[in-house]
Amino acid sequence: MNTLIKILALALPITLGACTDAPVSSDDFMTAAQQKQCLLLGQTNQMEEAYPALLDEKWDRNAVGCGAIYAYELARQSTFNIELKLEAVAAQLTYFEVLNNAYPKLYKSGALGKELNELWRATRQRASHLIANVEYLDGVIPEVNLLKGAYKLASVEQDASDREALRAMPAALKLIEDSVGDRPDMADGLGLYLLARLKLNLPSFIGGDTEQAVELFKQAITHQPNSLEFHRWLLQAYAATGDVEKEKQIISKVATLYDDKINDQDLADLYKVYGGSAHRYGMEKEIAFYSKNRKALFEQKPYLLTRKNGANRGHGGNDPITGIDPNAI
Amino acid sequence: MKLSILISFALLLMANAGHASTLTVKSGNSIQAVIKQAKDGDTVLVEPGYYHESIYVDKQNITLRGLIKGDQYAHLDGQSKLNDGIIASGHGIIIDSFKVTGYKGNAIMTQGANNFKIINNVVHAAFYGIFPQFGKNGLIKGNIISGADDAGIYVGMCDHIDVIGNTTFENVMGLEFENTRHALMADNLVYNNSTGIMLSLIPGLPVKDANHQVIRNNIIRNNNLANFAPASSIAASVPEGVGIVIEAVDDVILKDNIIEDNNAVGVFVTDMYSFGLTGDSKVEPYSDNIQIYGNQFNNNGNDPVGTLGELISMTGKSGLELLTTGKERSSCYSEQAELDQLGANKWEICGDKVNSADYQSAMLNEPFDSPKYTAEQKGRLTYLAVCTGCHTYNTVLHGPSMQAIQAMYANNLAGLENYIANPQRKRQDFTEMPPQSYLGEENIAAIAKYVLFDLKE
Repeated sequence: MNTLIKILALALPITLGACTDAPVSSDDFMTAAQQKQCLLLGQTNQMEEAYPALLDEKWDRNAVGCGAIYAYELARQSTFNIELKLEAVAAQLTYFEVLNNAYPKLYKSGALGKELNELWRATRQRASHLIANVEYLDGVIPEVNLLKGAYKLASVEQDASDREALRAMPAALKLIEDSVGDRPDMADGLGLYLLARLKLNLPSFIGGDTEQAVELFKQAITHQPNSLEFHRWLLQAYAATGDVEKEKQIISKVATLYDDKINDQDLADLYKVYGGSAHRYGMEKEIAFYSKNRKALFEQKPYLLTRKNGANRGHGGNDPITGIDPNAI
Repeated sequence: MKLSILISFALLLMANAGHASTLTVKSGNSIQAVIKQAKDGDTVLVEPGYYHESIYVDKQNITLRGLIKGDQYAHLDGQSKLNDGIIASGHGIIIDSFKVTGYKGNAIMTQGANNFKIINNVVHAAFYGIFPQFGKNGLIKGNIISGADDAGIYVGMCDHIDVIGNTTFENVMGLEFENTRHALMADNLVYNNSTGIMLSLIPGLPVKDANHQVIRNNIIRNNNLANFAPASSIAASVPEGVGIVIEAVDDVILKDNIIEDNNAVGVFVTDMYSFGLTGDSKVEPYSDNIQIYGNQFNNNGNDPVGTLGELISMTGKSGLELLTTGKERSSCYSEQAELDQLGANKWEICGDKVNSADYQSAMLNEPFDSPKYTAEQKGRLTYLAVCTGCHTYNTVLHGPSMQAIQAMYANNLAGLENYIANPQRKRQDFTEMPPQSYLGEENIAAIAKYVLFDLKE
C-alpha cells in the first residue's frame, strides 16, 4: 500500500506556506547505525538528488532508510514547502513497508527483531513529527487526511500493542473515508484503493464490507487501469466474496498488462502473488507466465529479494518428503 | 555336522523372517539402547521408573509401551534440560502409557510416520505436548496433557487423524489441528487452557489447505488461562478466553459440544489476515462452509480480555457465544433460539443443510502406505523435528542462526556431525545445546548434510 503513497505524494500539486519546524535532535529520529550509514547527511543538495532513487531500492532496507531520513531532513529544513513535507511523510511510509517486509514471518524475536524495532520507532518519530507539521491543513488539502490515515495504519503494523493496532483502524477508516468523500479521484485513485483495502480487511462488525471493497477497487482501477497492485487486491476481494471465476479472470488479465510505474521489487513480489494464485486454480499457462517472468527479472536484477516464506521457525523450508520448495511458483 | 549347520541356518532364517519379539527395558537402563536392538515389528516394554533420556525410533511397526504398576509409570523426565522425549519417524509406531515430563521441545512427536497410535500417555511441561507432523492415518487417544507452551495436542500437516477421549488443561492451546485435512476431535475434555481448541491454516508451510474437520461431543470449558507462550513464538498471539478458534479452515462441523465459561467468546471464526498472518498466495485465507449445530453454549464472553477483548469492546457488546469476521461463505448455525453472535449476519440457519462429513472416524479402513525414507528425507524430517525447536534460518532463536552455523562449518561436515552428537558450549550468551547422539550416526550425518548443503532460506 505504501508504494502508492509515494506516488500520491509525488502527484500532489501543492506548494503552500507552513509554520517553521522547531529544531530537534537527530538522535531521536535515526539510529546510531543510520547516522553512520547515511553519508550524505548535512549535504542538502546531495540529499535532494539522492533520496528519490534510494527510496526505490526496496531490496535494500539500508538504502531506503537513508532515503527516508534524507527526505525527513530536507522537509525539516524547509519552512514553506508543503509538498516536500508530504513527500517526506510518504517516504517514511515506504520505509515502514520495507521494514515490515524484513521482519521474520510469524516470529519476531532475536537480534534482527530488536534492530528492526529500533528502526521502526525512529521512523515513527520522523513520520509523526512531519504529520504534526502539516496537520493544520487537513481541512484544506484532502491528501493530508489520506496520509494521516495511511500513517495510522502503517505505523502500528509492528512494535505496537494490540490495543494501539485495533484503535488505529476505525480512526484511519474515518480519515480515509473523509478524504475520499471530498475528492474520490484523488491521487489517481489511491484514496479509493486505500479505502477498499480497509473495507476488505476489517471485520464486518467494525466497518468491513467485502462487496463494497470490490466496487471500490474497481473504481480505483478506472484511474490506474494497468496497476498490478490495484488488481492484486481486487483479486483478493474476489477471493473474499467467493467469486472464483472473477479471480481467474484477473489472474489471466494481469498477464496482459504493462505497469510502467511499478518498482522492480514490487513487481517481483507481485509475480509471486499472481503465480501462487494461479497455482490454486491449476492455471498452467498463467503459472508458466508468472514463473518465467519472475525468473527473468531475477536474472536481470539478481539483487532483488526473493521473499521466501518462513513459517513456524524452520518449517518454511522444502517439503521434507518431496524436497520441493512448496512456495515456488 | 551337516544337520547342525542346517538347524543353525533354519534358525537364522526364522530370525530374519521378522517374527516380532518383545524386549523389556529394566528400570534404570537405557530405553534407546534397547530400541537399537529392536527389529521392525518388535514390542519394547519399559518397566516403571525414571528415565532421563531422549528417544528416537525410526524402525517400522514398533510398539513402545510403558508398564504401569499402581501409580508408577515408565517416566521419561527431561529435567528441563533435554529437548525431546520421544521422536518417531517409523511408520506404524505405537506409543503407549508413558509419563513424559520436563522436556523443552517436544514431549512426544511423530515426524513423517503414518499409521501411528499415541495412546494413554501422561504429558506435562513441554513446548509441544503430543505433536504428530506429516503423518497420515493416526490415532491420539486417552492421553492427559498439561503445561504445554504451545498446544497440548498439536496435529500438524496430517491427514485422517482421530483425536479422541483426551484431557488437556493448562496449555496455551488444548488441542490444535494445523494445516490438517480429514480429522476428528471427539469426546475430549478441554479446560483451563488459554484457547481450548485451535483449528488453523498457517501460511508458508508445505501443506496449503486445511479442511474437513469434525469437532464433536467435546467439553470445552473455562479456557481463560493467561497466555504463557514465549513472546517470540507464534503461540504468543493465541487469544485468551476462547473456546474454539477457526482460522481460515474450510468444511468444519462443530456438533454436540458443550462450550461454556470461556470469558472472551465461545467460538471465534476468523480469516488469516484478521489473525495477523500473511504471505502465501497459494493459500485461500478465508474460512468457508462452517457448520455449528447441536452444541450447548453457556455463559461465554462475559469478561473478554486481551486483543479480542479490545476488539469486542469497540462494538459495545459482551456475552458473545459466536464471533466471526463476516467473510465466511456457505456457513450456518443452529443453536439456542437467541445465540449471541456478532459478524454472522450473513450465515444461514443450518436446518437440513448439515454436511455429509459428519463421520464417526476420520481414519482409513486400511493402513496408509509406509514408504521407506531415504537418508535425504530423513535429514530433512529430523531437522524439522529436532533442530527447528531452537534454530531459525537467519535469526537467533535459542541457538545461533543456521546461516551462522553454515558459515562456521562450511568445509567441515565431520566437525558439524561431531558437534551435533556431543555439543560443547562455545558462547556464553547462548543456551547450552543438549547432546543429540540418540539420533544415531546415520541420522546425524543426514542432518549435517542437509544443514550444510541443502538448507536455504
